[in-house]
Amino acid sequence: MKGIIFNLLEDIVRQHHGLDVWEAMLDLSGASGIYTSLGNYSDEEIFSLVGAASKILEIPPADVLRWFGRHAIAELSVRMPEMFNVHVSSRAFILNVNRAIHPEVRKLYSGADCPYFNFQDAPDGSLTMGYRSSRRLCHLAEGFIAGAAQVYCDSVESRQDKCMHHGDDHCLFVLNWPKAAASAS
Amino acid sequence: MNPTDTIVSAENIARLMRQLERERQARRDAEAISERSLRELYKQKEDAHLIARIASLANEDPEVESVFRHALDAICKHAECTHASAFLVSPDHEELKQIQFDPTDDVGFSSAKTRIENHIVFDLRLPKIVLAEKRPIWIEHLDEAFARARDDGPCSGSLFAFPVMVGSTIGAVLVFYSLAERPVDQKLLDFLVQIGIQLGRALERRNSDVLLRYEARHDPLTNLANRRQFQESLAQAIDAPPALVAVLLIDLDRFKIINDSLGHNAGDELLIAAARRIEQVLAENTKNMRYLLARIGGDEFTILLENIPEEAAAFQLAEAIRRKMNEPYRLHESSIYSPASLGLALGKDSSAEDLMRNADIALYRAKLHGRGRTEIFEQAMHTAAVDQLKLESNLRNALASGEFAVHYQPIFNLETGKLQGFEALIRWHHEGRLVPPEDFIPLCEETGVIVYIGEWVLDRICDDIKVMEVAKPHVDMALTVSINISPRQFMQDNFADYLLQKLHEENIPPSKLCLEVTEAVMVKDFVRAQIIFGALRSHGIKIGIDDFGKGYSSLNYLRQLPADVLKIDGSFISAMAVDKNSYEVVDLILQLAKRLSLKTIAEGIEDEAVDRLLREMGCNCGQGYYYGKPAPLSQVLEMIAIGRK
Repeated sequence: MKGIIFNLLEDIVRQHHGLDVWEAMLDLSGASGIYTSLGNYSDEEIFSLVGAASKILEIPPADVLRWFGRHAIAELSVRMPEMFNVHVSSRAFILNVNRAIHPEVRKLYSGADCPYFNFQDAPDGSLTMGYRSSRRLCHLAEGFIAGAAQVYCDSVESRQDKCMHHGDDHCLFVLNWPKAAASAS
Repeated sequence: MNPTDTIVSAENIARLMRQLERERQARRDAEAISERSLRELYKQKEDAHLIARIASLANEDPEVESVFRHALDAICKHAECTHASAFLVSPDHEELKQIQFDPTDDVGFSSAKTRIENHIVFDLRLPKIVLAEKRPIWIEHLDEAFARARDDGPCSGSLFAFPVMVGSTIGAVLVFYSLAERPVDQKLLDFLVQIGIQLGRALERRNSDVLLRYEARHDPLTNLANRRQFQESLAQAIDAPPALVAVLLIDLDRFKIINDSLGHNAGDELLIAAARRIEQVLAENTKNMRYLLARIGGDEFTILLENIPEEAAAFQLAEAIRRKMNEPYRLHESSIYSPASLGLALGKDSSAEDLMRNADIALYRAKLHGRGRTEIFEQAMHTAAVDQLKLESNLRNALASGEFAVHYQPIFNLETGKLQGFEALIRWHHEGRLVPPEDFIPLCEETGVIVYIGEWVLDRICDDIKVMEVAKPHVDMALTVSINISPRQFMQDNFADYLLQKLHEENIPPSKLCLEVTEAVMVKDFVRAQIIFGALRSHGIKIGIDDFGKGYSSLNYLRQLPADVLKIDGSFISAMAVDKNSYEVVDLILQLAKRLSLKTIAEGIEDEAVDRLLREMGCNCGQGYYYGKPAPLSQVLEMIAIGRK
């Protein structure tokens, strides 16, 4: 996992819950707490930090990831505005993850192991998004989607029809933008 | 432990927190700097990768279209564009033509194909600006003047275009479209200039390929097809369903003389002028016939004719060309005549080789029969040509295998009746028969074998003269041996030197030798004849004009003729007893010779009556069957000993 994710997690936890909670998360998880955005750290470390946050904040790990994802996107839009400026809606932004966002990430962090999302327009106007990764971070993705909607001031309804945590071989989201927002993409 | 150390005041904590925050910010700044560098490095790597890819494409892919298609695709990906197109600049740098990529050829280009074929219609306006300003151009907000959607819908976004350079000129312009209205990216434009230079290699290569291909198939002087293209086209014509095909060979009769006398520049100009003339005749006279005009050798042109309605049409065309070639050329401020000989061969199912060979034989025939003519190939010519080839090969062997011999025909003084000398005549004994000189001398002359035969004859004569001198009844008896000199022998650079040197080596007085040449040799290069024969005469060698009366005797040159003897052609002599005109001619020649102080020898005296007549008319000498047939040396020695008939 890239160091930027750990940096974002630390910043967001500190902003919302204070330095003590972050320190407590480090203590509880046994994670080193020394992260630079340029570094690469074990996936286990992020999972144990999320687990620690779940225990300390008394919310399920899935919700920790959703919460983190939502705020992380907002934070990224401040740090890397050029990635967001070229799109006018969350739908456009999300559809560009494979084509623009992840290639951009790879430019910064060579060897970044970015997941690939399968998008498909459904006949009813909704968008299905498939996700398959050994990290099984579908909840983080869900948070990212919600965060993107916040950044672009539109709203998206997200429903997860399949989940690797429930025995499926991949995760499947059905995303719906209400009329007004959809037409803007 | 010092108590002050353990005091943790709110102030200290605040300071530590500030320090921590500074450290945190410093780390972020460092990360940001690194990230910027990484990004830059990545970009440079991508640029380098693209340049390398374009360079290898441009240097390796044989098809320009394929190079451009790959390049458009790669640049689209690199520069985040959705549509692109390529415009080729015409050779005169005036026009732009959009490359129409083959929509079925989508192996590996599917994305480029989609980009190129669909959605966006590019206007020529932007490429024209690039062509005019010779630099890349970026349009931040495009309007319909630059591009529009294929379905005529509104089209927004940005465009950029850059030139593909071939040396210092623009060979093509590539145009790219992006849906986003992007501000000018000068770095990208600078980079694309590099790409444009690399891509230019593909055009350069194609241009030189085209040039090479053209040069391989054309004659650089006249820009006509060359032998190779002619042969290819002929082979194709032959392979096509059976139809009448003709090959017409055209040879400029006087080209060599003009080239040698006026110089190579004049020769080249003549060839170009001749080519344009033939083209003109073809344009005006071929009607529905297809033709290809080629220059296949120095002064040899050839025409392939197809779709010929009938043989006569091909012959008429040949005759039209022949007539046109008779007109004078204006070269170096003088009028030059260079008529042409033409050989025509037609065939329905002949092979290409046969047609070419037949046309060649017909051309040879045209030249043989006096040049400035058209001959159509007939099978008999082929037989004759084959015979000739055989003869030529036999001739080359004849010298080595001792098949030649020299015979001597006596020449007598008609006034005194005394033996005056001999005419040396070559004889060829081949396969048990005597081949007449007229059957092989012209070929010897043409092939150049005559020079070697001439040297051999001179060797023989030198030996024989020594034998004759011994056989003479008394020392004072003057015996002269005449030998015939061919035009080619005479044209040898060292002709006179060789002859004099030889006589000197053999210790033979030059006055023992008489050279017989025809009027044609004299007239062909009169200045040279005057110089060379003048020099030989000053050493005592006599010069005789052979077959006099038969050619076109010019009174003008007769006056200054560097000669001692006129030999009156046998055809007049044999006819003079019965034909008054022949008698008059002989009489006239005798009077002329007297006036010009030339000795006369009558050839072909066959009976006593003619002999008497010639004596009465005052002819100096004579030869013929009446006095003796040509015979080997051994058979004339007795005659020498007697000294009379």
